[in-house]
This record gives sequence, structure tokens and C-alpha cells, in this order.
Amino acid sequence: MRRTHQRPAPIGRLPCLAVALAALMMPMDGAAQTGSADTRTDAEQGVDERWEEERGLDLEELLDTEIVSASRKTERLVDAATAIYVVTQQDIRRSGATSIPEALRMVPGLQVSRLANGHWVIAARGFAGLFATKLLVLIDGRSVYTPIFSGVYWDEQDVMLEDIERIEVIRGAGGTLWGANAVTGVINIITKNSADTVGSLVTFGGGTEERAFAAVRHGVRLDEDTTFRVWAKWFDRDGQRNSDDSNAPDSWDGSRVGFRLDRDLSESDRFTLQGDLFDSNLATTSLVPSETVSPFAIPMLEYESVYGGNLLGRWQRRDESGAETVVQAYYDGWSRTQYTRARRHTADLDTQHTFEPWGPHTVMVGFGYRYNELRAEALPHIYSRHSPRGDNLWSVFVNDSIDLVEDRLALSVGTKVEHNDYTGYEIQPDARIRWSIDEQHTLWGAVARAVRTPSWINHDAVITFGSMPGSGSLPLQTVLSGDDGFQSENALTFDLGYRFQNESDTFSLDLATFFNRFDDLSSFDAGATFMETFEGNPRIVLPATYGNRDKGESYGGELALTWRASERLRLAGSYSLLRLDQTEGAGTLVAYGSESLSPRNMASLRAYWDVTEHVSCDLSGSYTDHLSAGVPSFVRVDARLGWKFGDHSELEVVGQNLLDDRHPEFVREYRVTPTELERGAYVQFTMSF
Amino acid sequence: MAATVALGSTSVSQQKPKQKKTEAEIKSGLVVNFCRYLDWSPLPKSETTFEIHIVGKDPLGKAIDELYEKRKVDKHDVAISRFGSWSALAEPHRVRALDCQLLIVAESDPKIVSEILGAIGRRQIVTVGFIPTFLHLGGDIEVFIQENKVRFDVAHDHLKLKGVKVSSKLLKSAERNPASGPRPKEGPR
Repeated sequence: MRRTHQRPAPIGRLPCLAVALAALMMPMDGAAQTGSADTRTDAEQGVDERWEEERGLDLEELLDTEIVSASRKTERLVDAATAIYVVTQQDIRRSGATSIPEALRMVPGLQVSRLANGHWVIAARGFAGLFATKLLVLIDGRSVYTPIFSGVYWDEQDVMLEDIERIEVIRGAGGTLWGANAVTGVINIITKNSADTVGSLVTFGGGTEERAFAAVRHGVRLDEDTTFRVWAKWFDRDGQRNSDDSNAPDSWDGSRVGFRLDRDLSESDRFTLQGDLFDSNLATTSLVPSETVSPFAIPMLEYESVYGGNLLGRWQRRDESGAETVVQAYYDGWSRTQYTRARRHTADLDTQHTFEPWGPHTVMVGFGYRYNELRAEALPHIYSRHSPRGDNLWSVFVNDSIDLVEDRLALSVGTKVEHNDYTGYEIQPDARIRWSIDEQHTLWGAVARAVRTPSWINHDAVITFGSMPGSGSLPLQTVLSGDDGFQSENALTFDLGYRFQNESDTFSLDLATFFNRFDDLSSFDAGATFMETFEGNPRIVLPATYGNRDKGESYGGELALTWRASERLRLAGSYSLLRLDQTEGAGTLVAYGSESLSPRNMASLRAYWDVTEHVSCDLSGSYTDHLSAGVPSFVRVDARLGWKFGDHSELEVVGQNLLDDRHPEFVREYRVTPTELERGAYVQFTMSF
Repeated sequence: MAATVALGSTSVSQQKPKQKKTEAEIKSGLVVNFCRYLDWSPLPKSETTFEIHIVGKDPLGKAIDELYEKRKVDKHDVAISRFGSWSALAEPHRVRALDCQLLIVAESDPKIVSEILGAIGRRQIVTVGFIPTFLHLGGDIEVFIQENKVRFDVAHDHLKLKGVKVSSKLLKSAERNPASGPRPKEGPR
């Protein structure tokens, strides 16, 4: 037990003298203290009004005061000098999304295309593809970018959706804070502190496409300072539809277990330990190269098995001055039998310190180290020139945020310096400025350089990826090889944005525009064809190597609107425009230009309606422009009806893609044959106790 | 880690900047106002201290100590004592913890909160709690967060039964916690 006896109030100041005089004039017996709380004067209570005013102790003022974290690093959305969109837990729940990619569909300007069941194409501001490389994704600070192709395997990214606190999606370069590969955007998935999930939750359901799913979580408070949760989930998804309207056999099931422990070590220190294990089984309709049977590409159902896990620890200290130190370490690993058997192990250490050295400056410095090891089994049509391969990544960054005019004009400048084993040093500077015209209007601008560093596929892989009849009844096959000379792709990005939020917070507008210039973009540099005997069979080879001959420019903008029309009705709309011009270098192979794989226009409208205290009805519609590579435009409409009964149970009915029997969302990539998204419906029951 | 560096570190204001405080600072400020707009009749003699006790995980920190360094309640010096977890307290310490005018019940388990409130009965101790069912369990003032601002609700009937008068200013500023359901009508245990 700690006990603090306070000093008597000082009387050195005039108001205090007045208080003392007033106090002397008051009777000291109980009768004086029986006046009502309304009639007692401040003097009776020993109140120094000026002292209180200085500290903002007025009751109304306190109730109008926004909570900020001690570090001042959490800022209002309207103040961020970046194109950011936040998906909240409520958004996810009421969207009917059953996976992280589905939840991301609501983000303005983010292209989310389901190429086939379990194969997702997710990109911001262009350069879409199954192996898209310029979008960095983190889950609770753990990078889920794969060193195989500098992108994300979306089929292995999952958490218990009910435990997601929010998803922050940043469109545009973020290399200074997040490092390489944050060229056109960052997706940051943040789960709840275990203190917010004490209790139990069970949810399960099933339907036509979401055949069956279930999740359970149990959270406990171990002691006054420690909370813990453990969770598990499982799903079984039906295959999609082939373009000839037959059933596609690309079914997908997966399971995952995880935990999170949060402990307050002291008033200023906090520790988090979390991890999960997963297993996923995915069937894919593929077109596999062949040297013997014309047309030398065989449709085949490939079964892929993925399993892995991760463990992350984070220590965070925030002292009274607002300085904050974070040290984080994690291990992440998986094994995949997709196209080849590959195993990856990643160990990562990050530190970060934020402090206010003087005046209006807030300085953030950081250091990071990551080790990636990749082992890929050699198969005829895909193998590695170096396996196993271990790579080191070192990084330091510094960022200074300066309040040039307090609460009005802020400048942020910084840079990250990385050293990787492929290209050596990479520098990613960034400058941002924000002008808060008043409480409602904000203008911001940014200029940054970002890089996409090479990966295993660019340097080491040898892949047969195209196969067709050639001359003389022989197969003509394209063989793509990595090249040690492959350099980082780099981008110079310019952003300009405007935000408006009305005084009553019922309406908001967020407009972001951008112009990006790309150099040294990845290209397939063609060589001269030759004939060879491969696995005992003759074939004609069109060799290609990874190069950096392409350039490009992109520009466009995203508009997001929200309107709380009434206490019971909330609307959210968005529109995005993208123009992308890629200039292919001489002698390069082009299957599809990047500009043909991204929709020029996208729009969406969502309505959240609380019909009664217990019944909610949500409707969303979206339009996605055609892809000139060969995908028609489509309109998707989803609806959700929720009924809460009792304090802790909810029954939901969700319909997805209601206006359309089926539609494709992307074109063939590598071996994967596109399948089409069907109309679907499911019922879900959730109970917490 | 990226989550902690996701955004910059600036804020906006009009000519008169909107106040921003930490949660502990706002809650401590509210406690000052509770003491200001509640009337314990009678209070102990003037030479004794006004006791604020905190049971459970302290949500106020140094902010409350700093506020009462230069402040009194009805001319009484203020003593703030922290007792830690209720379940870890021996009986004599529990008795001591309840020897106060204002009790901050910072326990999150409703069973423990209920046990503490039951031990208080109708003694003239104003209880302040932070869980959504606090008033339903028999507590007097429920503090909660809504849209990033701190709010509170008052069980006027409970306080009347304890002989504690509530200023109309405090009642006007109180609002129902949407997560708690309707206000309870019955008095404290």
C-alpha cells in the first residue's frame, strides 16, 4: 500500500489569500458544511480558480477534452499527412467479410481481385498481379512480405477477424518508416490488446460458398497486470466457378491457433508476446508446362499445402516526458508446396526510440535487422540457382516532425538507409507537410523516394512459365531466369491531399491525389531462342532474364466520403481514378502491361443502418472498371442483416455478390487458371460470455 | 512496431486549441470535480484529511497527486492512498481501504466490484468505477469513454440514500453509458 499525504495549499498568491480569508469567515462546525453542493462557494471548497483554469479543470472543458496518448504519436486521422484509410472492427463485422482480403475491399483505391479461390491480387495505385511487389503488409508489426518474390501470399495471412482492432491502409510511399517494398502502399493490421478480449467468444456458421467456419476465443486476466487470450479458427470454402459455368474444384480449407499475452511491467513499461500456427490446404486449377503432349500445357488440379507459424515479443516503454522506446523481435516461418516445396525462416529485430529533444521537434530513430533463409526444392520447371539462401537486411532510420506553427503547420522529414545482400545500400527519404487551415480543413503534401528491393525470384529462380506449340511440333517454352545484376525498382512519388471534417463530426471528405515516376522497373529481357533436350525431350527455349529496363508513370486520386445521416444511419462512399503508363524497354517480353491489369475507375457505396436497437441492416455496392487485359467491368452488391438477442448473442445473414451469378476478377497469372466469383450466402451465429 | 510509428505526431486546433490530455489526467480532473460538486454532510473535523482511496489497478497515476498538491476538499487536506488488488488484501487492509470518503474502484471483474460495493453498504463513501455495469452493481459514479472522450454517469438515488448531495451541475453533465443499459432505480446495498 502506498500512501501520499498532501501538503497544505500554499498561500503565497492573491487568490489563495482570498480563499484563506473566505475560509476564515466561514464557521468551522458541521453546520457550515451542510449547505447543498450547489450553494457552496468555490472559496468554501478551497478552490483557486486561476490555478484550476490553468489546468483545464472546468467540468465542461474536461468532458470536451480528447484523450491523447502520452507520446503524442497517435494523431487524429484528419491530421495525418498521408493518404490513409482505417478499417475499424465495426466496419469488418458489418461488411460480412470472412477473410482479410475481403475486408480490404472497402478501402478506397485498393484493388482487391480474387483470381481464384485462395489466390488474391491486392494492389494500391497499380502494378497489380498475383505476385504484386510494391505493397508492404504487416500484422502487429510483423512484416508478412515474402522474400521469394517481394510480395504477399494472401492465402496464409489470417487472424481471428473479431480480434482485429483496425486495419490502417496507407496509399503511397512509406519507405522511410516501414522500409523497402512500401512503394505504393502499406497495409497495417493491428489486433486488440488481450485486455480488450477478456471473456469468451464463439462464432460459427455456414452457407453456399463459405461452406462452414468456426472460431473460438477465450481471454482471461491472469493478474492485475496481465491478460491473455487463446484462439482457434477453421474454415472450409467451396470452389469457385469456371468460365464455362462448370464447378471449379479449387476448394480451400484452413485452420489456425494463436495466443496473445499483454503485461504491464510498470506504469511505463508494457510487454506483449503473441504467436500463431496455421495449416492451409488449397486446390488450384493450373496449366502445367509439358514437353510431350500438344498443346504442351496440361490443365491440372494442383494441391497445395501450407503450414507455418510465428512468435513475436515486444517491449514498450513510455516515460513521463513522452519519450517512447520499443524493442521488438519475432520469428516467422512456413513451408509451402506450391509449384515447388519451399521453406522460409525469418528472424527480425527492430528498435525504435521517439523523443522530443527541443522545441517543436519530435524525433524518431530506429534500427532493424532481419535474416531470411529460403530453401527451395529443385523441380524440372522451377528451381533455384542457390539453395539454401540466407540474406541479411540492416536498416536505420531517422525522422523529425516539426511543429512549425503550433497546431497549424507541421513538417516531417526523414530517411531510411537499408543494406541488403542483393543491391547494397538503399536510401529512402521522405518529406511531408501538413497545413491545418482550421479545425475542419487540412491540406497536406508529400514527396518521397521508395524502392522495391530484389528477391529470390529476381536473382536465383529458373522458371518455365510459358509453353505453347512451336515450330516442327516442338514445344516453345519461355524460361525465365534470375539475374545477379537485377537492381532495385525505384519510385519518386508526389502526393497532395485535402481533408474536411465538419464540426459535429457527421460528415468527412478525404481527397488524395498522386503522381508517381518509376525507374528501373522489372522487365523480362528476351534472348535468342535455341533448341535443347530437357528431361529427355526436345524443346525450343525462349530465354528471358530479369532486368530493369522498364519505366513508368502513374497518376490519379482517391476520394472517400462518410456521412452520419442520423443516429441510426451511416453512409460511406468512395471513388478512385488511376492512370498508369508503363514504357517497356527494348527487347523485353510483355504478357500484359501493368496498365492493363488495374481498373481505371472504381467506386463504392456502403450503408450501415441500425433499424432498431437489436436489428441492423447493411448494404454495400461497388463498381470495378474493366481490365484491358480481358476482364469485363462488374458491379458487386452485398447485404447483411443482423439480429442481436440478449446482451451477448447475434445472428447474421449475409448475401454476397447478389446481382451476379458469377464474374471473373483477374486474368491468368503464371500457372493459375482464373475462376469466377459466385453469388453466395451464409448464416453466422456469434455469442460472447 | 510499425503500428507505433504509423502516424506522425502533430495535432490541429482552432484559434483556441482544443484541450488534449491523457486519460489519467482527464479522469483525475473529473475526480476533482466530483469532490467539488458532491457534498458529504458532515465531513470529518477540519484537522483531519479527506481520504481518497484507490482499490485495484490505479487509473489516475501521478495526475491525481499533482492536482491535490495545491487543492483541498472543503478546507481539508487530501490524502490519496492506493491499496492494489482487492483480492490480494488481507482483512485489516480491506477495512482500512473502506475508511474513506471517495473510493476509486478500479477493479475490472464484476464479481470483485460487487464484493467491494457489498462491503460498503450504505456507508457515506462515494464509489467511482470504470466497468459498464458499475451502477447496476450498486456503484455511485460510472466513468466511461465514448468517442475518445471521458464521460460519466451518476446514480443519484444511490447517493441520496447515502446522504451525499449532488449538485445540479454534476447531474446535468452526467450521461448514460450506452454499454450499460438503462440507469438503475434501486438503491445501493
